[in-house]
Amino acid sequence: MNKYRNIFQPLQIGPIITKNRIEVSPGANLLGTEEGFVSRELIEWTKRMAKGDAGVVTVGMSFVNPMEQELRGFSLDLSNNKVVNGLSRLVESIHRYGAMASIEMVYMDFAPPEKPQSELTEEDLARIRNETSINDKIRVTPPVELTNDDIKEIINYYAEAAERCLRAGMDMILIHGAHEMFISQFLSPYKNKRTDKYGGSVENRSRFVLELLDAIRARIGHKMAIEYRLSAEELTTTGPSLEDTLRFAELIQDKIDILHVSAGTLSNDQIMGNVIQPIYYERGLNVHYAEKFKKHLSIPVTTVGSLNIDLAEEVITSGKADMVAMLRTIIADPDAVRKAKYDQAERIRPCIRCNTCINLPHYFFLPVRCAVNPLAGREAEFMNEPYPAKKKKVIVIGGGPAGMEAARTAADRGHEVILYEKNPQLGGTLIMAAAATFKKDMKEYLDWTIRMTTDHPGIKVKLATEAAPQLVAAENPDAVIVAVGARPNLPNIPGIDNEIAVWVGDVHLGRIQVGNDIVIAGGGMTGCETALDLALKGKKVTIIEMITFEEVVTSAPIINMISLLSLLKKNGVKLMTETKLKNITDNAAVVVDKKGETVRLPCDNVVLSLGVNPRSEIVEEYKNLASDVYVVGDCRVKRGSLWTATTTAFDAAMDI
Amino acid sequence: MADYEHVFTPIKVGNVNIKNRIEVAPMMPMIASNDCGVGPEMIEWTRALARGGAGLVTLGDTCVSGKLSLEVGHVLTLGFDRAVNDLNKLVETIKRYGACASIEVSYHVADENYTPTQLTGEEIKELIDMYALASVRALHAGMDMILIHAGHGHFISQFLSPYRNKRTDNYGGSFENRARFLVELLDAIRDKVGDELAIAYRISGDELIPEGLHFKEQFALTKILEDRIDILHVSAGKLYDDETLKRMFQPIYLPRGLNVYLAEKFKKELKIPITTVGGMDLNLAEEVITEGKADMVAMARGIIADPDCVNKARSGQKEKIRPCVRCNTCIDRAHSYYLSVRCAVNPVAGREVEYMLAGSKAAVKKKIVVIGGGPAGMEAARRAAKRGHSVVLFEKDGQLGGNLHRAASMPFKDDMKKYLQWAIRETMNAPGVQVKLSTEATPEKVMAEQPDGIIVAAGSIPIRPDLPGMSKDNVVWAGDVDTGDVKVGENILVAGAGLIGSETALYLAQTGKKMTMIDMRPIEEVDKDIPFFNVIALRELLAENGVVTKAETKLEAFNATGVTVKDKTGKRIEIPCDTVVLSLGMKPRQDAIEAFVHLVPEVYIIGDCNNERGNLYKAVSEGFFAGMDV
Repeated sequence: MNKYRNIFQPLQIGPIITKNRIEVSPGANLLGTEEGFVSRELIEWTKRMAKGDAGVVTVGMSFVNPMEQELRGFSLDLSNNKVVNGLSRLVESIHRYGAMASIEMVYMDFAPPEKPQSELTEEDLARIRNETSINDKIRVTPPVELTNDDIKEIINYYAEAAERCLRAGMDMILIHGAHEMFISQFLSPYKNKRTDKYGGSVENRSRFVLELLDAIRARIGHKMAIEYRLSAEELTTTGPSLEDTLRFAELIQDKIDILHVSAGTLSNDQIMGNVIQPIYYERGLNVHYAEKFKKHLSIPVTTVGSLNIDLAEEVITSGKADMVAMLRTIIADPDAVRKAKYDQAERIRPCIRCNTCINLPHYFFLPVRCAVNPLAGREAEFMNEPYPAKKKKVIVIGGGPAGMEAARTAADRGHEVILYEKNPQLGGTLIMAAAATFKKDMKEYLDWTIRMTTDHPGIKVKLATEAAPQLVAAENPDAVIVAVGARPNLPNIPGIDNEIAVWVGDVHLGRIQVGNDIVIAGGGMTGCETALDLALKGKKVTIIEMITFEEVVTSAPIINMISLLSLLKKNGVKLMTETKLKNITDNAAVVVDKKGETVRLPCDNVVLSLGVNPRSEIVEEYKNLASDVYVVGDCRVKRGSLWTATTTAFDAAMDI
Repeated sequence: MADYEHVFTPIKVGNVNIKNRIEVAPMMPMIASNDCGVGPEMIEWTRALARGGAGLVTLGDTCVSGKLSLEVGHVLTLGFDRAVNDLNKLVETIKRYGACASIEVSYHVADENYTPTQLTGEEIKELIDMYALASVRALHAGMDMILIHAGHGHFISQFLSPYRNKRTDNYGGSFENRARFLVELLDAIRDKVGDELAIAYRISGDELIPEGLHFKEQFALTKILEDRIDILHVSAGKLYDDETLKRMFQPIYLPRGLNVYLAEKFKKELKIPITTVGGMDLNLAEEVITEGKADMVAMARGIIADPDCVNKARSGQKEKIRPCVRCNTCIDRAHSYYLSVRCAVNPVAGREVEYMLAGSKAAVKKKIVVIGGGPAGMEAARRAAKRGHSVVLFEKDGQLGGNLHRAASMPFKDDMKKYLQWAIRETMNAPGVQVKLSTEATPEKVMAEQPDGIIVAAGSIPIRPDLPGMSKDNVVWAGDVDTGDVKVGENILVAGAGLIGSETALYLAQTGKKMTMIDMRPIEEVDKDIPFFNVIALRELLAENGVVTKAETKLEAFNATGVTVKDKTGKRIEIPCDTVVLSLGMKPRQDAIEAFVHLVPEVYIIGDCNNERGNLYKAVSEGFFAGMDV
């Protein structure tokens, strides 16, 4: 019998019944049109999620209020009647697979507080555009400024948007009142200083949302369910107390059908990690909040935050929540639920919580992409890709993440694939990236990708076999995919050959034991993770990095970097930015710091983490071995990541 | 070919040579982009229309005003220069298949109070300029023809109407004055496009309401316009008057080709060719052309239902044409709700982009069992087999069809009957589908087939309430009445005024029974589930046939002389009757779902078995999806 039983029990939520307990939670994907309408990309993205068998699919971040195009960009505009046509196509795509369709409704005012949106000048808009983060743009309007007419207007936006969703055939709406979203601010006594009926007591501070919910219900009746999303705690000093939030939930529970319990705020960088947990955080860290609210209330409760299918089963079985919302697990593998249902959980591709998916839309207004699922956000591009007419012989050189992805994709398309790996095991650089204790998600992905490649009936894996060009030529391949990776960048500075200087990869893999006092040269994600790993093992660690602190933060998905940097701080790691490695002696790293002064940093080892260079010269050797030669992964991309590895590999295999 | 000799005789319209007499009539599919641009959806939709063999493809509802187009969204526009680029993609797609390209040009204001009376002289000039500019854009896009829409009460046609045009200048008053705008409009267009574009002109041959335009004045107008246009397209009715909607979008209840007589009247008097439109199919088209009642036959719904119908007729496969059931799902979605076009019998319509690979084989060949041979099960079986799977279809009755037999049994459901026969024929003849008639599926029988996937399409059963005084003798289900399986008395009450109950009531009334129909819901609520154009016609027919309908009236009990109902005021009333026909909805066959859902991991539940309010559209779509996904 399948070990997932309880998540496959139906649930009644107000007027609707969901087939199981998994909800695809909403997220900004920026796949809409620039005018805020539904695109083919958004339809195919949504359809793919519904096809994976979740019970509820929630369309993410849709705005109830009209907004300058530059500000709303690519998220849905629920204030326009024309949106109904596209919404109905989303609903159709969700219903097609027996899921319930829901949509997240957000009111946002991106304007600077000194003037209303309609009065923004070109300069204002340019300034707002240039602040690259969605999070920075959320106007934290103290509700005290709003007149009663403003309040009525905002409520009316919601009511009208809800009615449009109903016309489009939605089954549920999700009112986003968590993460310090505008409507949640009324509840905070620190932000809401009103002295009228909307301020003061917790009942008064709840009044705005109560009126909002009444207005929506008046329009939609009980033809749609209402899910309300809140932060149990914002985890800052200015949020409402847990007690107030519990009372608030009690007050609204008759007006909603299910409560969605998150935590944290998006407007504080240090708390972002609690909203969108990076790999370094525990999974399911908000479940205890859901449990608390569930005990307190008589309506069903949704939990959210780094949940996967195993945890979902555990949460539902133990009765801590009624629904489990997850997004990144589903982005990483849209078929996660279906695979659990068909007893194929070991085939679920794990999310590594690198937050590439969140980073692109939230910080750069770019469409969603995924490091482990190369199709995510690009479903429409490949929807009509025909199966190859001719079966080809494909040789893949290199068994890292790119080589494995290329091999599987080519084999899935019916080709005959031979994969050469010079080491006795698959994995390549990923083995190093998965080594630290806090990289458990990455280890799961590594195990998955090796398992799926090794078990694939269409792939012949040749381990411990160097793919010499003559050997490859002898196979007479139709196509060759070169995925030979990169080599460490070891700059020519005095003392680089000193034995205290070691390569970061060797440290990670335990090939070299380092001393207690460590200088890490290079503060990219690899250097920082190594620093954390060593600090957790009790070492004293200093990182030196040439670029500025801000550049370090944006050098990888920002939420992850911010969280990683705070963990470093917490564990006593010193980070010296704008500092350059000058030379290495027998017992120190000599650096030039940001003031231009030469400083000697005594240490037992200098760990070099200065990036990698594509192994271009090897690529050259394979160039003429077949009519089609593709170069993928770290040997193609200068600053490679898992995302660039899987994507370039997948794309190449799709072209064969 | 011989069957349709006249349809496949080429015709010259203006300077345009058209390969046959079939025109894809203009439609509003609502699949352009929100800002009225052409994307892959619109291109693939148009491709399906053109590839199917019609001689002329007319793109529909294209407004000359960019502003008005944008207000609606998802329609084509001629109001911007960028339209040239967009429309050219469609022209290219149409011509690729040897068809000629035309575009319907309109000026559609959704405000009924907006009449020609209130236009200033300057605004009249601007409107004419907009048309002229739109025509130039159509020409630049590569169109062969434009169709000026002056039918259905559209704004420009109102100039001719003394009721709508109360102007006192030289555009109002006398007939000549009221016609002046249209004459100037056509002259302005011709001045810009010369003979490079053929001009088709669309009118309502009669608006069919007292205060409407009638044949006499429309005819007088066309005599004036005859030299300025290349072909006259004759429709009927007026959009703003609900009672004439059925002449534009004829539902299943009305005879086909009911506007042909108007085309014929114009044809007799004019030198230019005439197009007829309205519930036409290929057989009727051949008849009309042969008899000389019209020169071209326009049809939209028949081509949505089967885009390949013209080619099938041409290549001697007329029995393979999937018939349109005139349920008006297509028009209802677009016109009533601004949603994208969908079709009850053609699941790909409007979704061509999503199913461009629908014809390709599945990667792994599977054994599929389909349980239930109604419309959903038949569609699923055919689709799965087409993808290379080996399909066994279990049907407990001695014939395929399921609940569709009920829906097709009444005399006014001839279209449905044709669809039923088509679906049965196609399923019985489908290579790869093994049909087991008179075989009730059991878990043992299903598993004996060793299926990889199971599709449950076991349908639904009527809801039968348990009311005081109810007995077997005086209560029957509407479906059994329709099929003639039960006898009814003379004085009949139908409980439930939805589509099934209403059709049964109409059928019985037409056989001379005295009919009362009740429903506990308000009538607007009931009607919301039925395509608007059909329900209007149905309610009219019910009234004409003397059926008394009482809404917000609940059936409470049976007594010796009839029933007791509670009306909307809460008052209990006795209604005498000798038979009660129940039509209180259907419920999915839960027993079938439970019996089969756990047998294998891959199970699909489709059609009425999956819907509380099932209909043919849901059944066929879900059957198609299951066949595609399996």
